[in-house]
This record gives sequence, structure tokens and C-alpha cells, in this order.
Amino acid sequence: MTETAIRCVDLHKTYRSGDVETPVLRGLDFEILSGELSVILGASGAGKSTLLNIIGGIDRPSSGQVWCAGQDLATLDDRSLTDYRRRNVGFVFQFYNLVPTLTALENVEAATQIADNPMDPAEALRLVELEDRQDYFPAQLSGGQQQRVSIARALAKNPLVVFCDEPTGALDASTGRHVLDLLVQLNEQTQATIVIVTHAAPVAQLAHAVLHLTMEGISTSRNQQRARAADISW
Amino acid sequence: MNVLQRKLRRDFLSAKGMLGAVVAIVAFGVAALVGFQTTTNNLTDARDAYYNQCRMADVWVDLKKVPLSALPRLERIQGIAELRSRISQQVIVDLKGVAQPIAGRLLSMPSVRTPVINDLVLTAGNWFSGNGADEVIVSQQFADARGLKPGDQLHLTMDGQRKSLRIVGLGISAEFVYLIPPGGILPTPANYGVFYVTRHFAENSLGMNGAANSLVARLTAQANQAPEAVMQQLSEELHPYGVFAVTPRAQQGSNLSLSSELGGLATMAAMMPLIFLSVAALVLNVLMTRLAAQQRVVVGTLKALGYDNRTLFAHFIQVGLLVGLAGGLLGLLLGYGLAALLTDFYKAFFTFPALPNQLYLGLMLVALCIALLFSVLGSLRGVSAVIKLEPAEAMRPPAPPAGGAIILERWPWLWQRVGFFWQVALRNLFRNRVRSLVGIIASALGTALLVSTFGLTDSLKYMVQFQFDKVMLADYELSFRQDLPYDALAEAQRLPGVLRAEPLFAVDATFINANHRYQGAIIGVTPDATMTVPNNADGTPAVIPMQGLLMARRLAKQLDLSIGDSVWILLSKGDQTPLQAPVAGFVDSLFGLAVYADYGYLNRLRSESGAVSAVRLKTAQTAAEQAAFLAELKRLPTLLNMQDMAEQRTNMWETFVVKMGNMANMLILFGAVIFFGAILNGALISLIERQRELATYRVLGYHNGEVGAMYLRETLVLNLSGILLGLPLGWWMLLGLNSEYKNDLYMMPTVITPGGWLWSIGLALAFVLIAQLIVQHRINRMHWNEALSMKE
Repeated sequence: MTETAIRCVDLHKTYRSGDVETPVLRGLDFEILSGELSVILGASGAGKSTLLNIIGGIDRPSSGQVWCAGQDLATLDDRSLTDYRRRNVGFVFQFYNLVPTLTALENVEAATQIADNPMDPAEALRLVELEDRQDYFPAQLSGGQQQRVSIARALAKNPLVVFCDEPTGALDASTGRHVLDLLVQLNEQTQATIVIVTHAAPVAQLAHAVLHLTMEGISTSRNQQRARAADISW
Repeated sequence: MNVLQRKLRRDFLSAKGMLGAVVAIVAFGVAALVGFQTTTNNLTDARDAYYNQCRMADVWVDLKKVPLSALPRLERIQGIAELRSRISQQVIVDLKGVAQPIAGRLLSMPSVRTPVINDLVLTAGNWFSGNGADEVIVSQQFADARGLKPGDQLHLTMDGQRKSLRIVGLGISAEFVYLIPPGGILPTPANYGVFYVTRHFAENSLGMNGAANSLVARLTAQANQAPEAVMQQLSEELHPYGVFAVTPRAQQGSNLSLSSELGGLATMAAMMPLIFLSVAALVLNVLMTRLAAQQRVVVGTLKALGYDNRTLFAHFIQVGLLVGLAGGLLGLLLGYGLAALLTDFYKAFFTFPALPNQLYLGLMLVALCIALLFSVLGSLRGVSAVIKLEPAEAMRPPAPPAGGAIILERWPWLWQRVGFFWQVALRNLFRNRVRSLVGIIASALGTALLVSTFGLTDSLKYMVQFQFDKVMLADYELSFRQDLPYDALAEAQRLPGVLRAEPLFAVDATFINANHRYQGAIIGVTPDATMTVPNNADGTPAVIPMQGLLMARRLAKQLDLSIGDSVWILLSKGDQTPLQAPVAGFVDSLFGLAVYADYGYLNRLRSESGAVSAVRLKTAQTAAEQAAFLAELKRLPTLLNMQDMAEQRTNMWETFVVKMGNMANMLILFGAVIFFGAILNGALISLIERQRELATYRVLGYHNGEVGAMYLRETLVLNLSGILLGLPLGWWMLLGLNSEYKNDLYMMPTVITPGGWLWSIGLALAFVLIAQLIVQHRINRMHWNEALSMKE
């Protein structure tokens, strides 16, 4: 029996701006299993990023529970949430968010410096096949390479979960496929739990589990047969 | 309001914190310019008006006694426009209810009021009635300090006789804008006064019928260009009558002090605004570069829509102009207020009939233009960079910031050692060279301002302590109306409560070497003297040679003399045959341009033996003994002046240390604004630019404090370098400032105590840390999760 990495119970998020209330997430219940590659799929405005921010410990729900690493994130204060991210979570962003004044290796180090049980940063770069680019600055790397550095940075702290927010959003199709392939491989090699958030339906074919997020709620399906990254297009 | 103006208004509002800091720096720069310059103008205008009103003399002659019949010949000297003779005498004032004798100066005035050279401005009461017997007009400062008013009586001991006089009026004169007792360096309004009596009364009381001992002259405009020729001729013509001193206006005590103060003020008026406006321009440059970069895509779009470069340029430059205008106008207000404070401050030292704080519109206009110019210059670079871009290029996001190793990485052993977080900090500083440099310069200037301010107070304290702990070790000094025989020492020794008395023999003299001359005095000191110890500025005692003169180094320089050289001396009293004496040593004295000699040597030089012109006393007195002591002094017919050192010290401390302290606090405020504005601005700009980077650190699991610490490292590197540079810079600024205040009366030593250094560094660091607290607060409140998904 696979363990649960993340479990959400009756999760609500409503944004308030003055007197206007905009409900975004309305009572979500779901689980993400450890060691699996999961894809959260939804159209623009369905609340994908909001959901990711909440389970990633960047934002807090309006109500409900978010269980991860034995604690309910909804009850944590800012400091504890930071500790949660520090120990348990890796992030990969659409626009990479590398620190421009740090080399590839140093960008990975920025994560390992404060982690409890990190990988060797050079080893993390080897995993994404950038060992020969470790002294390059972000400005000297292509978009795909930058995204791989960002993946290495997420993995290097040996987190419980890696969250990827539209990781191929800023890349061309071929480079995007390469990045997705890398995520699949890394999931297999390291057994890291990976959650990809995307609006591109074909990406879901790579996942063990697919969480369909709509205005009405969330539903989970499992892929009996997973596609290879090389075979999909969006 | 068109669209661009609306945009401008919103841009302004969104950057209000940073712009506010620049506006403050500009405002303080303008305030410094307007404040100091207005004060200088106030003083200069008041002086010029006062000198005109009183018909201030161009040349003063002090002499023993000249018959009035000799004067018509003098009036014919080429260059002399007008001449007035008068009678001047040191007197002792006896006030009811005041224990000690007070020194004063008696001056004769015409019985009937006519405009004369060195006239009086009556501030209360009336001119003399009739022949003015027993009537006196008292200098207003003294009357105020002693609560005297017209109608009151006072007693003057003049030429050994006690006279009772009725005050008819109070007045001031341009001769005494800065009124100090002989030998003093500070006004002591309660203990020194000028007493004007009629010529008739002075002649009768002092045995000066048909004669005078003081001449004041106004020269023709042409002669005033180089008064030396006239002075030389006066000196020669009057030689038979015993000339003590011929003084041009430039060397006249009161005018000299005022000029020296105006010189210092002019330096401040030039230095302070330059510092502030330079920092403002630099900071504005950084800020505008940043604002323009932020507007890059907007500019591209506007250009694509058909806005031409000129319109856009005008649009952006308006931000600079508005900053200049806001800062300038605020600065004008602040500066006018500052001038009011400073002008008021000078009222404690200088007496004018009126010293109003005036509005100099021309100056204000110039100041405003300078503020605008600096602001526009500051924004020019940032604006033109963006305007130059082609629309298509501008609409694309800028190329990612260039990577690459910084210079420190060439030394791997060093680079590896500093650790990851310091590497990050150093990279950021080296990547933004211009901004880092601006930060360092601003912090260096701020520190320098603090150092020179604390140093100024330290130097003044040192000067006072030096004078009273090292040089002037007596409790009292009594000077006599004429040289007394050695018995006077024993007499002084017998006064109540006196422990020890030491003689001084002071001789007024003119020193001449080739074409250099100086009117001063030689002070004869006994070898066993304990109360008169000439000290070098560094605190080491200077030994008085048994033969020859010990001369103030500054005077020797002025006269172009080296040790071993002979100097010609014209003694003012007694035999007037020129004498020659060797310069045997130098002393770096702080006060006056002193010349010391051995007591016996000076006596022999004057063909005297055991002459005493003053005694210094060490006392241990009970209250009763002190009262008896002072009462006896009041009755002493030979007494010219009594100086109470404790009182002088208090007066000097009050004036120099306490009053200057207030001025120093104001300068500290200026330093704080430079610091704060620049540090905060740099940090806030950097925060905005690196919002995304900071958000990344936060999402990686860095706590707010850890992100703040990354900032703190950069701030510390910048500001510690700035502070280190600022320390010597401050010392140098203080040296410059002190040299402006150097004159014949005193020399400002440049001293900064360890406490002064520590306070400067401590305050500088405190400002840095307060700015850091604000940055940390911003980091804590930042909406970093929004910054993450921003498109670059």
C-alpha cells in the first residue's frame, strides 16, 4: 500500500477584495500518493495555482485541512510554513525564478544551504545533465537549461514533494517535452513525489494520477497506461 | 490633464517612498545653501549698514599723549579724509552689590551730538546734557547683563580716582560688534563694558586737557586700497608722542573676529550644499535609471503608438523636475528657518543695532535653479537610455542581467573562504557598481559630516581645557595700570587667601623683520613660574630660554623668522630706540600670537629691574576671605583689570561648548538625512528590483530574517567601506573648517577624542541599522507569492 503524501479535506479558498468575495476553491477533498507523479489539470481560472500555492505552503486556505508530513498546513503560522517549505518542498516555476547573480551550481546551493538532508549540489546538476554548465550564470543558459537548473534545485534538498507550476509554459514544445521526460525519469530514479500543475491536457498522460480541477470541484483518475513524453504534444 | 500627466501622477505616487527620500536630500541641500548663505548675507548687510551708520574708522592710532595742536598737520596727510581725536582709558567699574571689580574702557565723545567717526547708536535714554559732567552712556551689552538703565548711578575708578556717574543713555558702536576685554577672546558682557563720557569730562578727570591718546581716521577710497602708506606716515609723524599701535580696520579686533566668522560661514555655505546636492544627484540618477527601466515596455508601446521622443523625454524629465521643484521649495522654507536659527545664534556673539533675517529672493531663485539643475542632471542618464531604444526593442523585456565572475573571484583561495552568503552579497555589490559607489560615497559623506561635527565640539572642548588646565594655571590675574616695582608682588601675596603670587612683565612691542611687522607684546615670565606655562598645541610645555625670545610659530611664519634669526623690536613704552633680540625657540600656542621671554632678560632689555605689570595668583579662600579680597581689589588704585579664571572658564565653556553644541546637533541632523536618504533609497530600489529573487528565497524556505540578513550583508559592506572612507574625510573637512577660523586671537586645534570617533561610528551604524529595520519591515510585509508568477 502506497503512503499518502498530501491529503486535503473540504478545502475552501475565497479571495476578498473590499466587499466582493470571489470563491476559488470550493470544498476540495483529494489525496496525492507518495512516490507518484501526479498532474493537476484545469482550465485557466479553475484555481490550479491557488491550489498549488496552498499545498506548497505558500498560501493558506480559507477553511479545511491540508495534511502533509504529519501536520495540517492550515493551522501553521508563517514561520512554521516557511519551515515546512524548507524541509519538505521543492518548487519548479514557469519562469524558472533563478537568482541571476548566482551560477547554476550556486542556485542549487541556495536550496541545499538551508536543507536538513540535501544532495551534493553537483550531483543534483548531474541528474539534470548540466554538470558541464555548473559555473554558468542564468543569463548564459537557454530556457530549457534554466528550467533544468530549477528542477535540480527543487530535487537537491531531497524534499517530500516537488511542485511544478506549468513547468513547460515558457518553453517551446520540443524543449518542453525534454523537461517533462526528465521529470518522469527523476520520479522513477529517485522515487520523489512530483506534482505538476498544467492547463495542457496531454501532459496528464504522463502521470500516475490525474486530478481534474474544475469550477465545481476536483476528481481523481488513474492512468492504467502512461504515455512517454516524446509521444505527446500540446 | 492628458493621459501622460495622469500616468506621471500615478508613477509618482507609486514610488513615493523613494522619491520622498530624494526630495528630502534635495531639500536639505537647498536648505544648507539658503540657510548658510542667507546668514552670511544677513551678517554682511548688518555689518555694512552698521559701519556706515557709525562712520566706522579705517585706521586706529593708540598713543601716549598728543597735543591737539599737532593734529591739523596729520589731517593734511595724503589719503586721510577725516580724523578724530579722543581720549581712551582702561577703568575699573564698581557696581553696587557686585563684589568684584569689573574692567571697562572709557571713551570720550563730543558733548553735543554730531556725527563723528566711530559714532554711537543710542539704544535707550539720551545724549549728554550740557557739558555732561558726571554723565555716562553705557554699552548696552553691559547694561543688559548687569540690569542697568538710564538714571542709575555707577562708580568708575579712573586714573586712581573714584568718580560717581549717572547713566543718561545706553548705546552701541560699530567698533565693538564683537566686544571682548583686553586679552580675552570671548565677549563677557557682564564683566566688560564701554563707558562713554564727554570730552570735557575726560580731559578734566584724566589730566588730558588739550590732548588726546586715541586717534581714529577715515581714509579716502583710494588710500583704503593700501592703507600701509598712510599708517606708516601717521606712525612717523606721531613718533615723538609715543605711538603704541597703528591698526588698520582689517586688523581691528572686533572686525577681525567678525571677518573670520564670516569666512568660516562662507566655507560652510559652499561645502554643505555641495555635499547634499551631489548626493541628491547621484541618488536621483540611480532612482531614475530604475524608474525608466521599469517603464521600458510602456515607453516602447507609447513609441509604437506614435509618441515622439521629445514628448516622452519631456514626460520623464518631469519626474526629475518635480523632485527638484518639491525639494527646492521645501528647501527654501527650511533654509529660511535655518537662517533664522543661525542668525539668532550669532546674536550671542555679535551686537548690531538690528540683525534681521532677510529674504534674499535672488539667492532663493539661484538655489531653486541649482536644485532643478541637479535633479535634471541626475535623471538625464536614466531617461535617455530608455528613450534611445527602438520601439520593438523596448517592448521586449530587457536582456537578462549579465552574468560573469566578479574581480574577487580571481583569487579563489579568498573567494572560497568568504562563504556562500557573502559571495552572494559581494556579487550583487559588484554587479551594480554605480549604485554601490553612490552608496559608499553617500555613507562616506554622512560619516565625514558626523566626524567633523563631533570633532568640532571636541576641538572646542580641548581648546578650553588646554587654556585653563595647561597654560592659565592661576585663579586670578591682576594687571596694573602701569609697571610697578617688585614690591607689588609682596603686596599681592598679602591679599586675603592668596597662596602664591607670581610676577609677569608684559611689554607692548612691534616686531619688525625686513618688510614684515606685527604689533603685539612680549611677556616676561620668571624661570620658577608655575602659573604661566607656555604649552605647545600637543600639550608639551615649551621652555622659555634665558636669552632671546620664545615666539609663537605662526607669528614667526608671518614675520618670516627662523630660530637663530634676530628680530627688531620697537617697544611701545619708555625708550623707543629699536632693539634687537634673537628668536631662541618656537611655541605652537593656541591663543594669541604670543612672544615669551625670561623675566630678567626682558627687564634688562628694557633697562629695568624687577618691573611688574601683572601678577597671577593661586588662592585658597573662604567666602569671607574672597569678599575681603575683592573689596581690597576694588580699592586698589593701581588696578587695571582683574580676571577671575574660574569665571572665564565657565563663560568660555558656555559659549564654545554649549552654544556650539546646539549648532553641532543641527549638523548631526543634516548628516542623518544624507545617510538615511541614501541608504534607504538604495535598499528600497534594490528591494523592488529583486522582488522576484527575494520571493524565490522565501519559497525555497528562507525565513524573513534570513532574507533580511542577505540585505544586511550588502548594506554592511557598503556602509562599512563608506564609514572607513568617511573617517579620514571628516578629519580633513574639520581641518579645513578650523583653518578658516584661524586668526590672531586664537587658532582652532583639530582634535577628535576617541569618544568623538566612537560616537561618529556608532551613530553612523545606528542610522544604517535603522534603515535596515525599515527594509526588514518591507521584506516581512512583501506579497512575495504574487511576485513569483510575475512574467519577467
